Amino acid sequence: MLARTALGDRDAFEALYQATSAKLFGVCLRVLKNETEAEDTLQEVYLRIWDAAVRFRPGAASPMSWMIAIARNRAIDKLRARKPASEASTRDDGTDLLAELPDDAPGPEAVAMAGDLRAQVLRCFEELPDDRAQAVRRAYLDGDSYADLARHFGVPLNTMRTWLRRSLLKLRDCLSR
Amino acid sequence: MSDQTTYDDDSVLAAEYALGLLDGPELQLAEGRLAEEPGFAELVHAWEIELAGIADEVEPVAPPPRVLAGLRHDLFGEQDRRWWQRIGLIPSVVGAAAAAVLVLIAVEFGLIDTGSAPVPTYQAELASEDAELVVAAAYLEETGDLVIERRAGGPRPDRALELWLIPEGSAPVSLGVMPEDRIAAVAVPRSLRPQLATGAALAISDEPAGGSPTGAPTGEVLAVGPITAL
Repeated sequence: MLARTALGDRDAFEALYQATSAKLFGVCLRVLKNETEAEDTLQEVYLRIWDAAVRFRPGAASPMSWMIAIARNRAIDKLRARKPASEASTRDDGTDLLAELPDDAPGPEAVAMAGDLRAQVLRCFEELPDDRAQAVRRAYLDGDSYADLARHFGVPLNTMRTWLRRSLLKLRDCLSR
Repeated sequence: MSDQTTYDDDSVLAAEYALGLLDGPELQLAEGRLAEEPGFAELVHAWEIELAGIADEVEPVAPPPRVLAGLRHDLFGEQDRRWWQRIGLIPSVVGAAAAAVLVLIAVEFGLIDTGSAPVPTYQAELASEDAELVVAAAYLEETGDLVIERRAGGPRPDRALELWLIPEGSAPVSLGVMPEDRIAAVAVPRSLRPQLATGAALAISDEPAGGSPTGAPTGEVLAVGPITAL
């Protein structure tokens, strides 16, 4: 029966919402710094999650990280839509993330590591000079482009790129250890 | 940076894309590769998952209830209406459907002493959206009794609450007016017993004293809940 299926899902959905919405709302608020926009975004995020949830493999990659990625990308898109076009480096709206889910879900090893990795990205930040970690944070949470970052740190654009690329390499090496 | 449109390390490009740092030709390059190269898409996805750890530093903030209300409306509002229409309940239900949302709570029924009494095989929980009316039901297949617990609410003045069994794919069948006792057993007619199973639903409607004169719900449907196996 359609209703039974939908209702069973609904139960699960509400439980998921109760468990995760505060974190995702925190992320939306942090990125957008505007309650109304954050609320709208959160609603869209859960609609996406709902649409994609059927493709969720039980026990696959940390669902929280996946949901945070959706929330962050959606919030950043909103932020960019708000910014003047010159500043915006538009990116895909996150559908890629959803589309990849079925084939892309990490294997058991990746899943086992996912818990560590989440905290690990912050641990790895400690291996970077403070301002570099801050630059990655700003890109992630404030949607800063290379140009924004160059302005913020008062360095030429190319220097900023070189800087950050080196930092991302370091970060990757740290994460893969 | 046209001299750097290639990278010795795809992972860095993937990270730049995941962070949203790229623009212009570099962004186009990354998007093209994302669409065409599963390996690259995987790198981007891996970064997105890893970078999500940054959100550990972000304080959770409880969203206002209207967000969930909006989601319920978007996700389930239309579905509920369609379902109601399909099973042929009264048209007024279209408006009431939003109000009479069923809640299925995975709580143990707690009414039955499983040591000595028959064990219920099916249960349902029916609640109006404002939770003014909450009814739990457990079906004892062995005896054909439907045990009803009215946890909140009751009939309106000079009106009755009528209980309906909605077999999968067919019209509601009355199980009679809800007893006045808070906890009571309703004997399910033998002919209906096979239909009281997973896939069916229970519903409660507001009816004239003594119950529906027509054999079908005539008043507002206050609550409905699917029957689930225990």
